[in-house]
Amino acid sequence: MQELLAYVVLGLGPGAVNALLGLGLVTIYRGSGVLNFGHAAVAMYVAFVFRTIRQEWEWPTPVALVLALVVAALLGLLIHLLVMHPLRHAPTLARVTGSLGVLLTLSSLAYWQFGSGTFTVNPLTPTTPVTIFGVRVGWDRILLVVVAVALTAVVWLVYQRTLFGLATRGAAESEKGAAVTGYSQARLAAINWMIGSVLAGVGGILITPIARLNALQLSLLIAPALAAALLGRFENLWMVFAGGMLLGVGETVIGKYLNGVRGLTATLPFLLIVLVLVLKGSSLPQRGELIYANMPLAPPVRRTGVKVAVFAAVSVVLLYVLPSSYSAAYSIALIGGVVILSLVVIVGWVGQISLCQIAFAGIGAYATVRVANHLSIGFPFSILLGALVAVPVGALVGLPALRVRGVNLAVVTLGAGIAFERMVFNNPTFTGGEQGSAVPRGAELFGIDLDGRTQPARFGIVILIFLCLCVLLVANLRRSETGRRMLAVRADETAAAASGINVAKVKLQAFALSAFIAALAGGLMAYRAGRVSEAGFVVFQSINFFSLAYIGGIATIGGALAGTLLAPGAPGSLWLRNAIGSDQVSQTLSGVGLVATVITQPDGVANIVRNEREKRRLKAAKASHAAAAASASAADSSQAGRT
Amino acid sequence: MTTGLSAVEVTVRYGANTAVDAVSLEVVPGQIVGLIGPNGAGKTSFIDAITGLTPMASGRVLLDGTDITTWPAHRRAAIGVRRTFQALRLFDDLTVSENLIVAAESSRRFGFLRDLIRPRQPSVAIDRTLELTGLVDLADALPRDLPAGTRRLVGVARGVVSNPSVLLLDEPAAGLDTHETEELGHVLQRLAETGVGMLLVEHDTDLVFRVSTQVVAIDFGVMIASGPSAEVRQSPAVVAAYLGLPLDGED
Repeated sequence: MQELLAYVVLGLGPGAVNALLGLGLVTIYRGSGVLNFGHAAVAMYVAFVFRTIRQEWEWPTPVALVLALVVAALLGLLIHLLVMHPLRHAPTLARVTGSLGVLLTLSSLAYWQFGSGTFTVNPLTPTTPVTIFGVRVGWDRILLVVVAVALTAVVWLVYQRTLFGLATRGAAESEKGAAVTGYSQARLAAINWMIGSVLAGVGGILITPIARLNALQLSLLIAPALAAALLGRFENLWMVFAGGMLLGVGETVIGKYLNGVRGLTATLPFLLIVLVLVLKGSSLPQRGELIYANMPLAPPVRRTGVKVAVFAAVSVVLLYVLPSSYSAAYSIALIGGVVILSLVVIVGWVGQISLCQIAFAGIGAYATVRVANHLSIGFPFSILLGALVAVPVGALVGLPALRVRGVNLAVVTLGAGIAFERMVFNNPTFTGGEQGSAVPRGAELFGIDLDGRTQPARFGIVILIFLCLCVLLVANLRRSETGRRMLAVRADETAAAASGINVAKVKLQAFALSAFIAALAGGLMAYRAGRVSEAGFVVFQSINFFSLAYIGGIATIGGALAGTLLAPGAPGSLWLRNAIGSDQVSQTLSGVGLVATVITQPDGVANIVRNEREKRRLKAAKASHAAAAASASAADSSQAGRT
Repeated sequence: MTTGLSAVEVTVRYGANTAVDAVSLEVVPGQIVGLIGPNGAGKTSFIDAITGLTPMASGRVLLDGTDITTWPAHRRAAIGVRRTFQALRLFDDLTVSENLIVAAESSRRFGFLRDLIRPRQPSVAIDRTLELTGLVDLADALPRDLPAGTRRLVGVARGVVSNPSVLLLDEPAAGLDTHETEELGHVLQRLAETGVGMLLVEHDTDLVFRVSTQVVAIDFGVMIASGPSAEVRQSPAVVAAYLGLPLDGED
């Protein structure tokens, strides 16, 4: 009992931070209708600022605290003004993408500015623990819980008792609601963004002395925070608090008693998210808001054969002509292209936001190795069989998509990505450890040595063939009956169902195909490197590829593929690293580029030219329509004159 | 066995509110039935229930004698119950002809896998529907580039392209001017001649009484009159509930 209590106490700190982050998420959501995926990244960045001022510059702690929280408020304001306000009438996909851009930008900026390591933060409280009911409790945890309770109470009171709170609640019901109280919607949103970001900053500052400071790990606290906010239905602040505490305590307690399954605790937020969302249907209260903009343009595919042939020819030349570092980088880009194609199917054409594509790739990679090792099936069938393993997994991840949509699905798939990363890829039971993750023999076909390590250019051609085949499949799909159904589902699920389209089937097919394609990429990665390394399948990679595809044009094959040149390790980022000397530059650029794209070119860079041409064509067409209508009505009236 | 659509005591509730209260009606092939009622009378809820987009509290829906009460929306559509939407809800990324094709195609066995290897050219006939609705010249246009009146016609065309047994029209004349409304009336009559049964929900009562053979009137979810057009038009209950009021048919 005493021991259990000790673990409960251990979970209080993380629990309180979940609660604080959840509280901020709810504040921002209710104030502006935005679900900020970069919320925990704000907490992380503020924690870094605080640490730098306090420990590097050695300024007094209260000053550091005030300055860091001012930075938090400014950060919130900036995100609102620069990113989310311009996107206020954009479709969900664009808004989710915008906040993912914030996440990417902040985490890579922190890497760049402060370093990629894990940093210790000097404790804020006396280090001697107190003993309560026979359990030793650190002051830092007591402080966290007290602050979390106090801030929840304050925010709750503000929303209940002040005109500002009333206006925010009104705004959450409908865009017009706020106007009645005399507050402008834009100002309300801005203030709530600042409050929410300060709450995140407080959480970040208080947790890092306990949990230490790492840019990526802290940014991923978004998952439990989302779970906590969902438990409170983005409305009931005390439920959010309770949910956050429950998650924190649950993780440590489960971690204690189920030590055998590594990473199980990390799946807790995911399971909760799925449970809440799927069982209760759409859990985010819908705001009565207006959407003017369209989904990214999905133009018809034309002359695919010719384009693929040209692309293949150029690629072969590049693989042999480029210096070896760039040739290798080009191979990596080609594999990234396969991942991106999987996104074109699921996000581009069916409009389902999936943030766990890299998890499918990881499953494909490990399954390929397993198939090769245990069934003695060699290249290339091992890759195909391995990819088939991902199909049911893809369908499984797609199941929640039958109940939840839009931003909720993004939450589910992000949770799934994190769960896979922690529970499957970091778990030797699944991965087979060091031993099990090596490909038994390099690729070989008809006696030609295609080993990815010794014959990189030849294996590059193998990758190219896989990529081109996938392009042809996906292009075929766009032209087909199934493709039309997918776009119909993307445009309007209700109208699709009323037109005889089985929406559930279309979604599951898309998830299954998308998982298959991503898993092919995983198998190729395994053969290219000769082994699988779990480091490649972190959820951040999923977000990265999502953003690259979006920048290029996620609903166009060519555009999305172009995005892969900036993938980590691909020629674009290699060149940037050589030119600027930092690995994080290309990451930061892709974050900023994502935000810029989603605001200025929501159809993706690939469609800029097409859109311009379309505009001119439309103008001409309208002019000729008008002329035709004029002559028709003239004919009408002359006829009327005769009768 | 009756042919066409039979709705038997269809009831829809939202919480404690009864939006549609035991409304029964029949639509036989080739017939246009009007459904009128003031704002909030439950007309759209009725269509939603028939097409499976909102759950029914009680009642039954039959098509050509087959009980489809528990079928999901897409199966009802596939067997021949189609509708249009007041808000149109066209597929914005597809051209006008693709909007029609996707609504007419029925899925094949393993069609998904076959589409990956060999995409099927559209095999459904849409030309006749394009002709009947006057959209031939606009087949390759994107709906978002068309004027509102034409978009309404695309919605109707998408509804009838699969030769449904019955088409439920939700305010097809909303936002149309007098001339366009008249043209729509002709289109509906031409379509009825091809054998499609139609349920016409419409605020523009002139249009309803002009093209419908039967009219059903509801108010607060309850049926207040039903019968041939001319009779319903004179019915005191309808005049009191609806026609007697100054008409604001434009909203």
